[in-house]
Amino acid sequence: MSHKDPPALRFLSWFCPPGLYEGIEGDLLEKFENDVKIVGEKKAKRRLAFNVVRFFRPGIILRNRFALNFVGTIMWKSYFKISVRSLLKSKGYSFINIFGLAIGIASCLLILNYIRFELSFDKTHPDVDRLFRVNQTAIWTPGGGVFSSSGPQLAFALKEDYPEVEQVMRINTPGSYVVHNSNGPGSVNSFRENNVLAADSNFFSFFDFKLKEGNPRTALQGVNKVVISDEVAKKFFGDQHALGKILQFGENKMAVEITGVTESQPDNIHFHFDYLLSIYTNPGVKRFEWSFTWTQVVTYVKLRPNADVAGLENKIQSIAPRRVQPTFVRMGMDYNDFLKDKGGWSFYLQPVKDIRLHSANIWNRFEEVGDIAYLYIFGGICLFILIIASINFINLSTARASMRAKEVGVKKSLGAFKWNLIFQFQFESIMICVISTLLAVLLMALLKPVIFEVTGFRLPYSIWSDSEVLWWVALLPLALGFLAGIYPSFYLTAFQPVQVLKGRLGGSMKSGGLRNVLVLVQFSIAIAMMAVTLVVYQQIRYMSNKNLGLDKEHILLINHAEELGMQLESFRNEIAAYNGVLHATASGEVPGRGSSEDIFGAEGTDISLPINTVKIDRYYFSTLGLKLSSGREFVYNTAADKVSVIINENGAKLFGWTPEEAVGKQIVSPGVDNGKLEIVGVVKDFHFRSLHSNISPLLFFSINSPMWGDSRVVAVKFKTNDAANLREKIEKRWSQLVPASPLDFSFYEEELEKQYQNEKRLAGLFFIFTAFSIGVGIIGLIGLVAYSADQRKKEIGIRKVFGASITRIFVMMNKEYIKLMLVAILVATPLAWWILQKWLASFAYHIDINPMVFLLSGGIEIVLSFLCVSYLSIRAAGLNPSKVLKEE
Amino acid sequence: MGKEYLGEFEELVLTMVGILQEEAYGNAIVNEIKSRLGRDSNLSAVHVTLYRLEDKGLLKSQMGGATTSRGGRRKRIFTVTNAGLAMLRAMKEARLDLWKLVPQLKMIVG
Repeated sequence: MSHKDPPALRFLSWFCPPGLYEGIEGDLLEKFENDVKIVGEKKAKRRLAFNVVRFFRPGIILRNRFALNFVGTIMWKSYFKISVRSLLKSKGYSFINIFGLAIGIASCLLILNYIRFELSFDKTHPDVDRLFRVNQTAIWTPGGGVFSSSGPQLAFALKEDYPEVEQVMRINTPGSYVVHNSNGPGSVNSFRENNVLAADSNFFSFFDFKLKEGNPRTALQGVNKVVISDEVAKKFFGDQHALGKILQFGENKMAVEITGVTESQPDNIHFHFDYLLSIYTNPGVKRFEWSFTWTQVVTYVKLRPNADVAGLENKIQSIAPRRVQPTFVRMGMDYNDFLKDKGGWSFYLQPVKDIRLHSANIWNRFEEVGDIAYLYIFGGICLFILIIASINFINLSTARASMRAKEVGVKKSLGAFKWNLIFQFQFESIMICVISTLLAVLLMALLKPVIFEVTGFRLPYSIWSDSEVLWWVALLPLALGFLAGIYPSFYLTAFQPVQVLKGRLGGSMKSGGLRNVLVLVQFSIAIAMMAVTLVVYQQIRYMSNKNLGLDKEHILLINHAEELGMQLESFRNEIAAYNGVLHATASGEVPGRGSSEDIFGAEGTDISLPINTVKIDRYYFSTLGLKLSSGREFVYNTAADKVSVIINENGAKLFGWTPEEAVGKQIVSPGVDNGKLEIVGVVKDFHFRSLHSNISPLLFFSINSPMWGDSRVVAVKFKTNDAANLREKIEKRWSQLVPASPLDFSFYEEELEKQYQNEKRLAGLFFIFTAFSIGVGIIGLIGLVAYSADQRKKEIGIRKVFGASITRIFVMMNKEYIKLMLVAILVATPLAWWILQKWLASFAYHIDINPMVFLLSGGIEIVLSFLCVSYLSIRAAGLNPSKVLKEE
Repeated sequence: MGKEYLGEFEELVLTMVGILQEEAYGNAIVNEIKSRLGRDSNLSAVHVTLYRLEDKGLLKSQMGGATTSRGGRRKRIFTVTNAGLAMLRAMKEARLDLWKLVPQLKMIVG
């Protein structure tokens, strides 16, 4: 037959294993030739095609691979058996390997968990890709910057002028309310609620909060409606339905109908609420709806699909000249003056997805956001710990290579391929990792509460709650085992069988160089991490202990004192007269809580400055221990004090005055229509903001001045060990005066400490993970030294026979590692120094890095390792040479 | 070998290889089964069975000499190994032994 290679045969050649191809094809052709004779060519061709298709079956297609698998299953068993045997043979080393890796993997899983949680924020909202928050220039901050609140008018400007905008939605942040619920006559529950928001009625089409009760579309329509969280519903109504019930808000007991109850709110949304009012329930929103400077709302937009975001962001810049500027005319303020030093009034579209991690520098009124920088830091730590743990594994495997060398030699001479052996060692390494991972999962469960205890950070997931985490748990050991196993398996399989079986390997096995480098890496990482931890702690201590220029000890704060109304003054007087009370003061705010800011110009100069303002009474300075550097305090209740101010030294300096010159000078505020203000005193600089930032200008107004700001706080300086008693007394008096709302008090010192909560949390986590990395490193070192002690038994015996002292041998055993650690200090220092410089730069006030820190960290590391290792070396040095040398 | 069993078709193919000797290749076996037993068998099934028997070590194979027919393709010739012979013998004996144990049944007629 002429050979035309019909398509059927081409198909055969595609799937048929090459080794079988010729025989099969021949048979098929032979049959075809027969068929041609019997049934004719046409039919024969059809039969041929059919026969080819019938060869398309597993028995043929999987042929080659099938054969391999068949051998494979036997080999798998053998790999497994040998791995288990070698693990059990040296239990100590196996334990070190597994335990070290387990700690590494556990930390890694914890950190990955944390990172995953941070990355999961705001991903579930409908059309989240089209959701943006509109940020703007931080108009109330002296140097400008960005913040996320805006005026109520912005939403209208966006919606009316830009077709790209599909929907706008505002969330108002009205602050705290006292909320009452009367359940029956005479029985009223009142709670002070801080987490109250108000939003436009399309709120639920923006954010993924689900309602357990109520209709999301209509819940926020109209005024005096509120959606509450399930916790609040439980608090007020237990298991009853809350829908349709009435709550009373605030002093004037505004009645508000509950129109919805949320399901338990997901953690991973950038804000949460206990109460969500319909936006016009807060009358301020209507009143200031024309305003761009009443920055009490957060504005979100949903863009149309495929809108050009960058283009729109460009276009909305024109809102400032077109719409913002005219409102300044209405307020009688000078737009350009207001914006001086703030770099113009800009608007920014920030994707809602990015809010959690990319808002570190954006001031916001909702809860704290995360910071992508922490993700990098902890991701780095995670990697470091894994590296340290894997190095242990690599070092122990290669150091103990001689134990396996004979095995390799025998296997090779019996005809094992190199890849069989590599497979064996990879298998072993993956098996160790799998066991470690199982242990790590246990460790993780144990560590979670510890981490919560130390840092107050609740890790979000458990391993079982999430299939993705389970995948990691499954895949991590495979990847890690494979990577950590690569070097040892190639190293171990490179032995020449002849050499090995002759017993000639001790000398020829020099992987010591690389092992030393790896140990060096371990120590360097551990020392660097320790140095960083030490400096972070030093900085925190520095901030807690730094003299702020004011007293913060033994001061009790009574918040929301404005609710006392006219009785505030008498209340203060009463408290000041209590036993154990040294001073008491009523003021607008206490330092550290932030304050409002306005622009002030000095008379006769063209300098004008944004200055923080606080309203105080005449007891403020004595209570907080502030000192005047010139001039006088306020004299209460004189009309003159309404136009008097006290400035801080820094403010005076920026106006170009010495403290003495400043007294008697006049300043004016363009926004405040109370005319000229006379400086009557200059207060010594003190830190009224956290130590992240510098001291900026500050003005004190008399508490009876007409300046903006209604909130009041009473600060009480008391003698030691009277706090509980005092608090009870105050509480009693308060409940007589303001029965409708509960007393809200706090301790000043604790509150100031909270400014550094982030840093403390960081330090706590650093501490834990540093301890881990050191622990894992030392475990590895113990393994290495134990092994080398065992290997050098004979050498040590001979040395002793020739008269070496125990001390000499002890030194000999440890010299190498101490040397390595000294080098490690040198490596770690620049690394840690560089990181710390960057971190410290984020504080206006920070410690200088003391070089001793690095020596100290190195020293600690050396001492710790020495303590752990010395037992082994002493034991090795103390062995009786006659015993060691006898055994052959 | 104790655990290895042969299926009915495997045994048939193995036996055919024993019968055909030098000429035992796929097509020949199909034809032989057809001519001796009148049973149609499938070429691919025969091939798969041959390879399976080879895996079990009961057959071995090598490529035969060049041919003029069948597009010049060589034949894969199978031969029974010692293990294969032993297996055939063992099966035959086992069957005979069992047969002896069957009570002398008579065909019941009518």
